[in-house]
Amino acid sequence: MIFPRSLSQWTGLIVAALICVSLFASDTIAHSQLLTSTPSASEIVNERPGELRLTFNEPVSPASIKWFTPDGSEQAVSDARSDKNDLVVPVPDALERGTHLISYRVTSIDGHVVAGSFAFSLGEATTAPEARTSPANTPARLAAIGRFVLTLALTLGAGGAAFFSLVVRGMEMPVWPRKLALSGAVLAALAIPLNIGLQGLDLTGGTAAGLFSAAPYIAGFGSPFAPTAGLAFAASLLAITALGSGSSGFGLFAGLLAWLIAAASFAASGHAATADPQALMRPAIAIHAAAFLYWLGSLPGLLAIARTQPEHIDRLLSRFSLIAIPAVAFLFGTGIAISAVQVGAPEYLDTTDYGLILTLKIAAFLALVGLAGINRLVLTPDIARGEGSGARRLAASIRVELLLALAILIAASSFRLTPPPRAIMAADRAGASVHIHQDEGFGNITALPGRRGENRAILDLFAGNAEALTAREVTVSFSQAARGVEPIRIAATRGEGGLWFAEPLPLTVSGPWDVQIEVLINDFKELRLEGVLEIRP
Amino acid sequence: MKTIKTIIAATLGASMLAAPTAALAHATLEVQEAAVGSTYKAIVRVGHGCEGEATHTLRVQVPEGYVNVKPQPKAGWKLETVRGAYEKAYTLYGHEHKKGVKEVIWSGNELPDDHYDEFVLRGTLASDLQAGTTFHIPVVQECANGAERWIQIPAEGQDPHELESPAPGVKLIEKKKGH
Repeated sequence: MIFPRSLSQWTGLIVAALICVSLFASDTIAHSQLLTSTPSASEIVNERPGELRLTFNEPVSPASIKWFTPDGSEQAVSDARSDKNDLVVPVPDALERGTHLISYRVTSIDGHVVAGSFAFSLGEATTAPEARTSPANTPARLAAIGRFVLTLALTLGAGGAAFFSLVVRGMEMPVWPRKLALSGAVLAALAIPLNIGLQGLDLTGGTAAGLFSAAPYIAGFGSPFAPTAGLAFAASLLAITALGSGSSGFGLFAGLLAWLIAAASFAASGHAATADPQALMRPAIAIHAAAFLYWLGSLPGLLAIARTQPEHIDRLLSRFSLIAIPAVAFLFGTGIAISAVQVGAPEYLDTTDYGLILTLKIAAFLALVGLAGINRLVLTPDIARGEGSGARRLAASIRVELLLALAILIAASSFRLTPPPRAIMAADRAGASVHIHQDEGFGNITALPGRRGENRAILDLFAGNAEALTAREVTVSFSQAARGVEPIRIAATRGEGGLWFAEPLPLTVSGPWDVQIEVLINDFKELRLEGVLEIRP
Repeated sequence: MKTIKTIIAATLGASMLAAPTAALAHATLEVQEAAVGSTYKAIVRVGHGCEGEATHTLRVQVPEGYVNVKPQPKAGWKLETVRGAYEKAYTLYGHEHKKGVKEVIWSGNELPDDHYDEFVLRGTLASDLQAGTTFHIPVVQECANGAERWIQIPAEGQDPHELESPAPGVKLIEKKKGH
């Protein structure tokens, strides 16, 4: 009876085999499990490991390995091999710093598939916001250019009007700076309707051709930009009046008013002006604007005097400095306050586009202050002593100042193309969340920051009758079937206020993640909640 | 004689082929089908420890509808039961059962990860259970540093194979005629 000899015995064996197959299919799903790994899950290693070793409770063979780099893209890896109970995955030669996510599917000796994901980090976990190219589209860029033109025109016009009212006050000087200021004021008045259209276009998302229709202008009039446009228009008309009426008392007053109203226009809209705390931000921006309008608007006039009447420069600079020195102090103080609110934390300066623009702007400002200091403390006394080259050097210095001023205005206008870190942080604080409802219970799961990288999940769970749920154990699984990311399983820990926390979650791939929450209510009862969480790029 | 040989061959073949299967399986019930209103001997098969650890305690929940349950003592294992009231009264052979065993606990021994064992209880599947459905008997294995819980019950229309730790189940069939 060792070997079947008759047909009936063969039949018996086949029947037995079929029974086995049916049993096999009905009640066995492999129970291979990942026991440990080297590096271990979520470990931060300082050197590139030679290989990854995943140890299972029984022999496995690799079916598919997917490697996701810290930037969320998939990297090809050479074939993994099995070594008894271990799965050995070769590590790419050039390994980026940050969190690497490895998704595996392995086959156990009985042919069943076991899948999961685990992560380790080289050097540091991927958590910091990354310098990102702004998702600026054409209308946004056009609106930024329009805003730059308007700001430049207002600086020349309203800032120039302030210079003639407060500094020149009837002093004899060449005609061209006044003409330049007047042109600036006229350009500002003309640029305002176009800016309304560009703002509207940015809101409605049309093409540049849309500017020939009424729709973007209507949208622009309804937008928060409208008060800014109104004030800027009033300021440019006042500046035209002031610059056209010479040094009469009325002209001086109109110039002063043009300057202040133009400054107020900057505080009327924009993402800095609308940031909290409003009581700080709006006055700070108005003062900031008043200071830069005055300073930059004076530069052409100062240049003209330095070139043609150097003997008057000392007197002019003394008058200019009466306001310029406090203005620089105000620029500096309000600049720090506004940046602190907008940027939030110093590390965002070199990790976000906004921070990069701000850094450039601050550098240009400091250079400008340095040149102004040299003008005042070195070159002006030289001229007073009658050194021949003093005036020439002063003129050269002011020309550089003008270029720096232009760079600062370009930088300031570019801010609108990029979300301030404050906005990124606000989104980070809100995170990504999903509400999952089932008869026996429901819950909210929030992934913080909800952005690609290492996340932390917070779970708020309730029983079906909306009462607090007393869970014994909570396990969360995150997977992304579309990208082939097998479940990352993490046991949550109970925290304050009945909340459960799961971390670190290496969600280094953006997009929709399938979330499964297993809540152990008592020894024999489990609640399963399933939903989808969208992770931002 | 041929028939007997056939049966032996079948059994031998089945057991040989089934052995590795059982060793890798979840905790399952040996008898996969039973009639409502019949006596059911639940043989719980345990083929694994908890992630490599030995099982020191096995707990079986007796769900509503599995009435008058008696566990079979097991040499070397301490046997305890948790008794409680049923949700309703069941009448078996003229006797009314309002309470009974709700949970069975075998403890105080070690079943290594490499070994296989069976734990047995017997009772009656109430006649008002619905034929055609699967009756789930949740099982928990406790080990020194963790537990393996076979307690997941598939949702309506869900494939139990999708579950990580499905509760052992027995398919209920119609009551046998003429009994």
